[in-house]
Amino acid sequence: MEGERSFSDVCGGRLVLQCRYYSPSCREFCVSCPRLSLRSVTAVTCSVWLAAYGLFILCENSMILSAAIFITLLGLLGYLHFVKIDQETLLIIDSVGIQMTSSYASGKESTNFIEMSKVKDVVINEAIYMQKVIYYLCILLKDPVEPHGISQVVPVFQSAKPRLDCLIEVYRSCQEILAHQQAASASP
Amino acid sequence: MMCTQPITNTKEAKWQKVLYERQPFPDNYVDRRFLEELRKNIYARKYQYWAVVFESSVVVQQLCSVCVFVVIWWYMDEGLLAPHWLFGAGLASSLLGYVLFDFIDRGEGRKKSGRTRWADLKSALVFITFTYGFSPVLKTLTESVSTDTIYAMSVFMLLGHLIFFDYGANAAIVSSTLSLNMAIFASVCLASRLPRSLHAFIMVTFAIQIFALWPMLQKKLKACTPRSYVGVTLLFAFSAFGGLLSISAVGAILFALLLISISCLCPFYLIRLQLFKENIHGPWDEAEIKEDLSRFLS
Amino acid sequence: MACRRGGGHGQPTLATLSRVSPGSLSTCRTHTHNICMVSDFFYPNMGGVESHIYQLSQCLIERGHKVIIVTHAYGNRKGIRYLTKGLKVYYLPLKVMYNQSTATTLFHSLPLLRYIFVRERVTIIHSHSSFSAMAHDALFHAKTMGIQTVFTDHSLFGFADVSSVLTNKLLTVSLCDTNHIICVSYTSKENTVLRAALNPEIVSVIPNAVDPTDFTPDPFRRHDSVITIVVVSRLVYRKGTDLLSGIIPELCQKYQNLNFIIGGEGPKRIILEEVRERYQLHDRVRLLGALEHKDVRNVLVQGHIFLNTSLTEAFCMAIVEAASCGLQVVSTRVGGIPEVLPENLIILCEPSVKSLCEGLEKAIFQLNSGTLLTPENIHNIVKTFYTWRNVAERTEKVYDWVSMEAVLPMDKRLDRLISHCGPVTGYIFALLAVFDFVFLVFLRWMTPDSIIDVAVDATGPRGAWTHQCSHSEKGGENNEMSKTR
Repeated sequence: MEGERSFSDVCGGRLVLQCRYYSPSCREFCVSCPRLSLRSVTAVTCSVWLAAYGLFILCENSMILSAAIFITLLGLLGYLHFVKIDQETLLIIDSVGIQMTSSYASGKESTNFIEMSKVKDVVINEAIYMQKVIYYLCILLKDPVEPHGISQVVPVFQSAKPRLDCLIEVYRSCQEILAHQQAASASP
Repeated sequence: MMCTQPITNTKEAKWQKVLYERQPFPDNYVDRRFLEELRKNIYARKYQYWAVVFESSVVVQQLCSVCVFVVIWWYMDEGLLAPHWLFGAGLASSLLGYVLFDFIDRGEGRKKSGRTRWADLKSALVFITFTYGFSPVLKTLTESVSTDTIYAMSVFMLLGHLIFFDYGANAAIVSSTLSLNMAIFASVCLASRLPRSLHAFIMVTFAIQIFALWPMLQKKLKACTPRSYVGVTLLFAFSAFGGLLSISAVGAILFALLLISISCLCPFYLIRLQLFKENIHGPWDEAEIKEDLSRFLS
Repeated sequence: MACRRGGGHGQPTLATLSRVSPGSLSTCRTHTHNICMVSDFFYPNMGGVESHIYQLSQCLIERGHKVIIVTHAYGNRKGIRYLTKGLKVYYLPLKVMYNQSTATTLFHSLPLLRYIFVRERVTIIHSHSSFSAMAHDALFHAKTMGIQTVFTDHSLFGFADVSSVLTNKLLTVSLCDTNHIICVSYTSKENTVLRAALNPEIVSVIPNAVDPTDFTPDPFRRHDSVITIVVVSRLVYRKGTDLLSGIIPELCQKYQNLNFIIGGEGPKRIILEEVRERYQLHDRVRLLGALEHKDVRNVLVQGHIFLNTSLTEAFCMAIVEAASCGLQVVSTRVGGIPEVLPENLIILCEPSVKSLCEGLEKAIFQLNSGTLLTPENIHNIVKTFYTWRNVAERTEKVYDWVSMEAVLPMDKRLDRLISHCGPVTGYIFALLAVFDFVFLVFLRWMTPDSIIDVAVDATGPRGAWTHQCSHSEKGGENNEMSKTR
């Protein structure tokens, strides 16, 4: 079952889902978007520069041109470092927990770990997002006070937003592990 | 399973306008009785041409009042009319109107409100004294405002006076206080452009007479002696026309055309439009509560 | 009168008759519909339209159709929720303008509504209430997208004042190319046909219903030593609260053993309180304030006579509920009320204090002389009249019929708008329809239908919830929950 499969996100862009089955109790899902293409970077830079030149001709102030340089550079840096997520990974290990990692285009990584004892369930949910209604995978956390309640909903693959077929794939595997885990905790 | 409707002979079964019975007709069935309770124009009024013309005289009167007021102001401004003369004439006509009002009214209104002649005299005196005292202020109040602004403002205010005046219609826009206030404001504006403070005082007094007192007398006349009211209206219209003619012939002709169209053409048009009236009534109309229910609370 | 099919009346009528006649229905039943109910008014807001939509949807789900509801967000309740039997409700984040009706620009709701219509594979749009801007928006967009449309009108409107002239014009525009219209009473049908200049053939009458099991009599709850008159309505002018303020002192002075129970809240409550104060009736007139719908029955069963003083009413649910609880109903003869109950269960009066007092005295006389039917009898008669199952069956027939009709293509729709809605309005709205179409083309280019995920059906023939109930198997994606962020 291991391997790479190609899916699309809610906007029609291409996504690649990699499933790695390390052992029956440990699986990793990795959703990666295509890298930032040179073409789009060039297009954005060119349009900013054209706008800057237009303003420059109107106001005849060279400050605008230098500002444009800074804006493109800082914007690109910021975008790569804080916005553009290349890869989102969901690592689920039976009896340990779930780890979600997002790697930014700059190489920065942010990791979020949830202990298995806190996880109540993994479900697919629907939400209204901008002018769309999308499906998303999320982890439900147990309420420490009330055992049947839900304290928090943690969305997974938040920036990639894969479509339903991809989510179902991940969902099924997660459910297998969760069922395994529940059986293990119930038997002793 | 499904609730099958009784399939009886459709010719025999008669459609009823009820909802509680399952009838052997489809839901979108249209009976011959459809819309039989529709009524048209049941509250429509029949208008008589001359009656409408008579009613339109209120509008004519008010237009003439404004016209006379402006003409008088122009005469004062040009120095053709001495303020004493105007004051004298105004006082005389006010007294005449006062007596006439009482004569027509036969003291009924006085009995109802319990107002004495002494109170009338007192309020008249108070008003005249205050206006006289403040007339220098009125004169200098708008000195810093440009004359064009004053004229524009006066035109707007007089138009507003005409729009909001209580012509007897029952509409939300009618507000006699607002209307009177606008007229007085216009008079204050115009008075401040007159040469001296005495002029200003007399102009404002005259405005009160023509915009506040004269309509009251008119209303009384119209209610009690319609014939004389028609005569007064005609006389007033001709005097306004004459006054305007002495200033500008074109303006006078336009004014006359306006008066004729309001008093003769508009009623004619109103009656013609009645033919196209299609007011629909039926059981869906909101019922009106016709009784006076306030008696239960008093 | 506008004519939808132009000319020949006889033939289409016959065709219609045969098409909706019970015999041929069994063939239509083989296919089900994906229905989308759209209205600004839905739970948690309370009212007649809300319960109508809910109950109708439940019965349609029972009959195997897929039903979803689209409404606007109520406070914190936004996103997607599931109700009983997997009824899916979209609470869209649209701005509320006035009286729980959304503001409309005619276009801003298109992206979301289109997305929902596509992902749910909706085949019929059913809009409710002419006061709901969202319902009209949905009709407008559905026609642009080529989906069949049905509209239910729940209210009556006059023709006299300026505001009704304007709203009637908008209704004409909205309904001129709608496939079918449903009204709740014959009077309402006449009203709607006149307001929107429609062909009466495309207007069906399907009454509202009440759940008779919710409104059962309980004769032990009432005290037979006194006579109790119950009034349950919002205390507003249109419900005739002013008339009530005249009836109370008149009758209380005449009958010493007469009590009033008044349930409901509204701006006119103050005059009832004044009357109570003025005539010292504190022990005999009880004002209960706003009632929850579930408490209505408990109030109704305490009374002998139900009084309705409405000044206008399309279909009065309150009197059916009261009759179902076994009360003798006294009501004004306005709107569709005379059609609702048979003569032996209702005393109809003119909308005046005098006439209503006479009607109430007649009811009191009958009560004292024992000629009234017992509550059980009344309940048994009334419970057969109006049921939601029946409403759903009849609505289903409308859907079957509509689904066989063609939606007007764009050019014909523009012709219809221009020829039907007058020269000025017609051209304006034809232009707007063109804009709407261009916007739709743009949206289809931005997010093609192919990349919109098809929603998992909760209800309908392939509904996850229905399968879950019947086979009790837990499929993969049945586990979605109704909580939203």
